[in-house]
Amino acid sequence: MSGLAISTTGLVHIYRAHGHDVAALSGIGITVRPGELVGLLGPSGAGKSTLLQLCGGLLTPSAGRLQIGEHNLATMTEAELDRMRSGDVGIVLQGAGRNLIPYLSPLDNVRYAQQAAPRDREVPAAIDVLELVGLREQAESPLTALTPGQVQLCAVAVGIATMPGLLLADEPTSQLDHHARDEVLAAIRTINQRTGMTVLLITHDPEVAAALPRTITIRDGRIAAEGRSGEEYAVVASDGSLPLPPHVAELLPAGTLVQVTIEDGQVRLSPVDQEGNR
Amino acid sequence: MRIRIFLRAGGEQLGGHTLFLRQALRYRWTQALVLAGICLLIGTCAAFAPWFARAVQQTVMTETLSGQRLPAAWQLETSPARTGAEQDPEPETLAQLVPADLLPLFSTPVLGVHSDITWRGVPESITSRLIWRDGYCAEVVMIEGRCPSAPNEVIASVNDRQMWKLAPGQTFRAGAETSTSDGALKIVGLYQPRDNAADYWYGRRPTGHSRPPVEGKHPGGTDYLLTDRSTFRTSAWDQHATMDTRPLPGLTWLDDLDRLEAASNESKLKAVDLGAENTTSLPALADRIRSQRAQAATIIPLIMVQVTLFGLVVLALALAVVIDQRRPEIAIARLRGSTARRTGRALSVELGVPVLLGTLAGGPLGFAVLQIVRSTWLQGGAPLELPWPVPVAVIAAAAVALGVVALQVRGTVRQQISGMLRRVPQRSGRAISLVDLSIVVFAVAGLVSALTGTGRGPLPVLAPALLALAAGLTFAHLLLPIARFISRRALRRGRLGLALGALQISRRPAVTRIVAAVAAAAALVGFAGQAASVAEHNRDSRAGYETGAEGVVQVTSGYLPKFTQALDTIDPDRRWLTPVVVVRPPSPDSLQTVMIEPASFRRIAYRGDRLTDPDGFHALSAPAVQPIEFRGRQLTITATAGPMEPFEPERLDGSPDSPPQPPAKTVRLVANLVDLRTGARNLVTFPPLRLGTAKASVLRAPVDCRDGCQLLRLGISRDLTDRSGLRGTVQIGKLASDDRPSIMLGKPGDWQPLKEAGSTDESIGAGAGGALTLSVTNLGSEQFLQYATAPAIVPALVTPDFRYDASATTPSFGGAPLPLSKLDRLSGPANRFSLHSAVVDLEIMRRIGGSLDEASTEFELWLNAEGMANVGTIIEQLQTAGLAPVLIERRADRTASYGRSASALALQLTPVVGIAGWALAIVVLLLTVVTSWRSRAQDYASLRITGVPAPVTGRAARWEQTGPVALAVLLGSACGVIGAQIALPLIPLFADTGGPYPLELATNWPVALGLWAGGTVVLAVVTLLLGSGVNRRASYSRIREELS
Repeated sequence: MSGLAISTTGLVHIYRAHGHDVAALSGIGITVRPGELVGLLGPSGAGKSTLLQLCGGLLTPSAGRLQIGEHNLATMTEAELDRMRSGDVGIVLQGAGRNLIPYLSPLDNVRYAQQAAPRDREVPAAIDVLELVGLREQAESPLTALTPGQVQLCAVAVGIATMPGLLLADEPTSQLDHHARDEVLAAIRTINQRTGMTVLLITHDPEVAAALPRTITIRDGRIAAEGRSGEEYAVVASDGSLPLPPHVAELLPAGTLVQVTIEDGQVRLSPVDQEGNR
Repeated sequence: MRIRIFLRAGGEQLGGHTLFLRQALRYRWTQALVLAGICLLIGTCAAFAPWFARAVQQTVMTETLSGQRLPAAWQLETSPARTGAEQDPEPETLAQLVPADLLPLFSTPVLGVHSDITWRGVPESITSRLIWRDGYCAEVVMIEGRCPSAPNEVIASVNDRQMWKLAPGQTFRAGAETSTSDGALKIVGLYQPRDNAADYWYGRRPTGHSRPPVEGKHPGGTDYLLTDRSTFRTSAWDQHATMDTRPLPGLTWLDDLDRLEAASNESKLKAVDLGAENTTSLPALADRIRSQRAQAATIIPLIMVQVTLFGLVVLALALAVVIDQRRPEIAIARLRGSTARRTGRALSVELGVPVLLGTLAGGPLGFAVLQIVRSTWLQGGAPLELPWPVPVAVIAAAAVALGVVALQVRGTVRQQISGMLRRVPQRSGRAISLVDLSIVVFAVAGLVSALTGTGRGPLPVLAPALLALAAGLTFAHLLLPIARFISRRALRRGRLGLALGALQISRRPAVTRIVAAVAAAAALVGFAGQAASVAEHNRDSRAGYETGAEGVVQVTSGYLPKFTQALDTIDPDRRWLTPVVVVRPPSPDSLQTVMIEPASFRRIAYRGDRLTDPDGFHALSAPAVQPIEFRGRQLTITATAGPMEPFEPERLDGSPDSPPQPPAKTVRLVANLVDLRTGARNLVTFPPLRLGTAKASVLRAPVDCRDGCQLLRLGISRDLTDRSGLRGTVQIGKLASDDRPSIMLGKPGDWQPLKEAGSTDESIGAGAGGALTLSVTNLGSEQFLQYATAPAIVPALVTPDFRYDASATTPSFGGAPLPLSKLDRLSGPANRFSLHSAVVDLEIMRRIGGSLDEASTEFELWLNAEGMANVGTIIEQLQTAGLAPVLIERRADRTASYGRSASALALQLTPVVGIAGWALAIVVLLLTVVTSWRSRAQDYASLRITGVPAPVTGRAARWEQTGPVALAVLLGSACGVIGAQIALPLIPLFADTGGPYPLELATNWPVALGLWAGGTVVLAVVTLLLGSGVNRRASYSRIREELS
């Protein structure tokens, strides 16, 4: 299966905590092309995991549009979401152990993950999946005999057991040493390149982020920036708003009046005082 | 490069729900074992309850047929032919009344013929029973001579050798009592029964007595004369054909009961056509067996359903814990696209396998337990059988257990995946409360129904379990906020261990499960203890009341004084025994007289002191007045007739009631003397005392008082032809006997008029003047004054079942009606004679005297424990005194008999309930600890890292569960006691309900307290050990654990 595109427009998710409504995502609009490898960045509580869970159908959007390939997640039933997860979307949760059945070998874990695949869908042999992440040798080993990096690779293998069009990975490289981190990252890149699978992963690690072709930074439930090949860009939202990069925002504290002008094809922001003087 | 090798299609081909079942079971084999163990208990209960109930019922049938051999037997006996034309039926004809299909169930019929004969041509009057029984020669030991082999040959009992000097070779003539014809019988041997109590005799055994004639009472008699059957074919005896057979225990089972009863009733009717009677009580026994069946059918399910119900609750709790632990796996399955239904099915299979295997294994285990029970408690009284309710119950239990699995799984797998991904499950407090609230409402409804309703239905009998669940859950929910409060308070006061322990309780909802389960277990145990002990107490007390004392010896005596004198010789201080004499009335609806010695009865009889209060015993006792006693052959009275006026009764209008009579010329003085040797009351009539003369007359009357007499009454009588009224006085100057020239007659106030049936115009009274002055108004009747040695109207304790009124009488010796006054002081059941009985003082009755009617009078000795220990000596001494004593009943035997009732057998299950209850509670504890110890250990490890000392975390870990568990045991024990008070009245402790002996259902506090203390110790030790174990594992490495 080829990669699936992700498209969100005005995506909002509100949850209730301690009697108050909290907006985890406030009108996010992103587009990920099929086969793209995209990293989600941002501080804790920014909404990255919420966005990932929305994409996996684990949460229901409060408002907005969320399209994964042909699936409009805002209108799907539970059964349709189950079917989507059984073949089209693979999920790797934060913490490798949470993705694995502790008493099964890597091979059986992959098989276990393949159980629910639709009848009309062809799935690869479990051993091939493990080979793809470099765990063929450890296919029959107990999980407790694997290194943390191998356990994480196993979790990734389980996530791609049915060769989905989209792999959602929540911090797959966290709590790993550099070597293991690089192995996992390399495996994900390999999967992405060899299968054309779209990959959306969350990371806090700048080195991992730097290694990704595209990153999206989320802050306060909004798209704060987007990185392409090491360059970071601010992204104009659909309502015309523009989140400022942190170092710019320091110069322009909240409430600052800014005069926006276009000069020579460039947009200029000029702070003014309350009387409008520069 | 894309992956191009796709080997196969999607998941359904991978093996469905069972692909990884073996690994899953192997990984958590202890949990599977625990689930299987709980279900094994449920399945065992389900299989064992109907099996045991059936086995108890069969045992009751077997033991009834074994213990009641004679009442169960068909004993047919014909009457002699009424006319000469009729042929006496042969015993073989009677044997044909046993239906062919029931023949295999009956013993081989013992046929017989007998005739009651009178000896002819001998000086004494002698009666005998001439008897033939099939195969009798094998049942006797020939002491001398041989067994008869020809007509008219007989063998006599060796007991008759001395009395009647019978010996082989003697001949005598005899004939039927009702016939004038006779025949010659020749004695060819002397026999002794091999075993008088053998089944062979069916109660028709030789009497063992050789009786001399007593003039005026009965003729002499021999023991049975056994003869050949041909004797009855050649002589014209009045023949009684007999046939005895009985249903054999061990071959006759419950399924035969209805047919046996019907055949018994049918045979009774058919026997009448043959001029015979079938005296079997089999139909009554069948009724008794049925009522005992009902007992077993009530008690056993009541007990086992509670255990099963508790087992199911524990299973649900265990499943909740087990499923909670599988939440990450459920989440993984759902993440990989498995639907909730599919995930649920897979989990249900994983959990259902041990549950199903465990429940089904309960069948064989139940059978094994039954085998142990059959050979021990039931003493092999039940056959090996598989009643249909057993497989049905096991299948039903398996279905319910699987249903519990499905329900528990369904509740979890339907949760949101995001919720399941949380490390700590997000509890829906409202949902839990709704479930708990439902249980509480259900339990309270059951209790209300039990307390206010008719007591029918299953809810009231489940009261202990329901009460404990309701109270346990309520307490458990209150415990969390209370623990939080205690934690804060302890923290403020610096008691860190207590604060941490209480805090741990408050943040672990699992504690509610423990508390509820432990409370239910303690309630079950408490209830079981109460049921067993209260039932045993009631069996014991009922056996005591029914027996009367520890033992009862029946004594055959012709005279009351002989009986009492023998007792005074054997035990003058009444340390061992108390005498009881009963005079039966001719009609069963009338009162029977039960004569006791109040002082010794209080000490010797079972709970004798509870018959009445001290004032009651005092009121019952004979007056402390010395009787007037004398000896001799003549009684002399010196009397003077005072002024006498004619007396004519008048009607209301003042006219004379009867035509005028000529004036009376004489009266006769009369006296009632009680013979101290025989106890008989004799009337002495003196010569006529002439009226109209002031001169004293000396009147003499012969008396038979060689062994002493007591003067009971003095009075006047008239000649039969003299019915003229008179009113005046008769002064008795002196009374003398052969041994006493002047007998003191006491004060006039000691003489009370005796109310006799007669004209209300008549009266008699005592006054001063001389020794005694009789003031009389007499119309011709006999009038008496009774000496104060016995009250004119006898005080009596009357059993409440009899409707007493002022005209009520009770039979005295000889059956004469005795007026009585009821003492409203009966405070307990009357021992042994609890219905239609008037309890009176034996001494009063002895003083009143009377001629004994042996047929209606029974002499008994009631013995206490010490007396029973010396019963051999007592019987020997009674025999030496010329009495015939027989130990007829022991309290211990009756208690043992009640111990074999269906109720007692069924209640033997209660210890099993106790063990099962505690076992289940410990399972819940272990399971909760096993599934939560890691997080608890991590908590305590974190605390240690922050500097909390290990002893403090140890205290917290130990008391975290010990505190709630100890409180739960206390709460559950209280619920068990309260529940027992509700449920025990519904348990049929005896086959017959009601009756004179009220049930004593008061709480047995020593048992309740013992079980509470024992339970607290056991569970506290378990929780303390588990807590210490958790604390030991609270190391730093525990925090780093990720894979569980």
